[in-house]
Amino acid sequence: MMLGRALAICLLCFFACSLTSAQENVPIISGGAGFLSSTQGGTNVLQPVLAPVIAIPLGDRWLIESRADLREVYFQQGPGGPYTNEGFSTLEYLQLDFNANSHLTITAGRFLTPFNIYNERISPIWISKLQDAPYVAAIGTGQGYSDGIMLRGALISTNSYAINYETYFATLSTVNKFTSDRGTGGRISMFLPGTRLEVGASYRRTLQGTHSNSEGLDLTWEPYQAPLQLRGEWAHSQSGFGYWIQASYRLSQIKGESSPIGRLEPVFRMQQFFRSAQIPNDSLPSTNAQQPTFGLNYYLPHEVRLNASYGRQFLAHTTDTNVWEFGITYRFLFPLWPGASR
Amino acid sequence: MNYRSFRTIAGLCVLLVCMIVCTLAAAQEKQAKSQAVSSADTQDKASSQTAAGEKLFRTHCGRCHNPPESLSPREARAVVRHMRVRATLTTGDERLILKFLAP
Repeated sequence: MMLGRALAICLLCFFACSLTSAQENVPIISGGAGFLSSTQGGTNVLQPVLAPVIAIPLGDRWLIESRADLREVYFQQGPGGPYTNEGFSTLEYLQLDFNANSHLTITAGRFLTPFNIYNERISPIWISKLQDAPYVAAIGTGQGYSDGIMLRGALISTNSYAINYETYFATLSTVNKFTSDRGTGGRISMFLPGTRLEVGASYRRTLQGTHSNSEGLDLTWEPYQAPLQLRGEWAHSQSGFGYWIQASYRLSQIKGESSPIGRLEPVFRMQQFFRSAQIPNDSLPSTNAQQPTFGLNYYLPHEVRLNASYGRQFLAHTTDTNVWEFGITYRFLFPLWPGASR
Repeated sequence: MNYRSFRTIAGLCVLLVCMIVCTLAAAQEKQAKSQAVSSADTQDKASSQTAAGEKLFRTHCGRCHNPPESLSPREARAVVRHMRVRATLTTGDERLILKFLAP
């Protein structure tokens, strides 16, 4: 084992040398902080959240990056009842990336599971237009992260189109705070830069317990002509299938994006889930469900955003409920040590 | 030495060798690139690269978020490296977006 330790020390020295040989690379801490509240069926849930992201570039091609989610959740015990609280801390990713070339980036460690678009791109609190994740975001992603190795890059990249891929293998881990399911999968997508239209297809095979497949399709469109975003996903697993589609429109075409009106952004999302089998702990609604949600975001200066939304949840064999949500988020970015911002 | 220790040590050896080879290759490539660049048309090229970088930022990064309000050139390197992985940027895209964020 002495030899093993010596090699581990060599690896650390290697990283230290890479760091010092590229002094222009400054590690940063970024991410978001927020306070989120929701009221469903008259019961409140309050959540102060901190989601720091750390990025440490090493040399020209290496990067260590990590994101955590730290939140304290205050649950109300029924309408008008007392509150109880519980803290949650999740390491969402901690990965070492090697940018071999435009066609290949090798990632090892814990990474966000690449299945459809929500988990990897839209889930951060400072990016998502609505507080709640769509029902089908749990399909193909499980806990949202995987421990293993991932390859990704551009198969073809031209001025008129790009075909990108992500593929991974995740190992089983039962270590506390580092639990992960064994599985494999990936996503392939085509992006048209001229219209900012992207379509993707995802697949995952879970390789433990009852082996099962999940499939997904996603679409995003952000036309240059208008501050409109259209996004949607369809996903299927042995638990069931469903979709969500979301449109948001920033009113920046009225007097500019810094005007009081231009800071507003109405959002609408429709989602449905159809249950086909009861699978324990699949993080999906226990029965058929659908929910339209209307939201309104207001972008304040200095990366602060206010959001409010109303949704009506329709669950089969259960009383329909209203879902009200309000929140404030702040996106931050600092160098990891003082003076590095010069 | 049991089989598990041997496997761990062998794995670390392979990882170390791969990292050294990759870093040497990267350093060699960087040196070759820096020699090839001529300084004659630097200024014109810089402004057109900044414009191209802005366009690429709108095309890729701007789909999800706005550019950070303030960013020093040294911070920008870490940000763009992070976004290269997230947004599957090519090497050329990464270089031009860096020109836009930290001209």
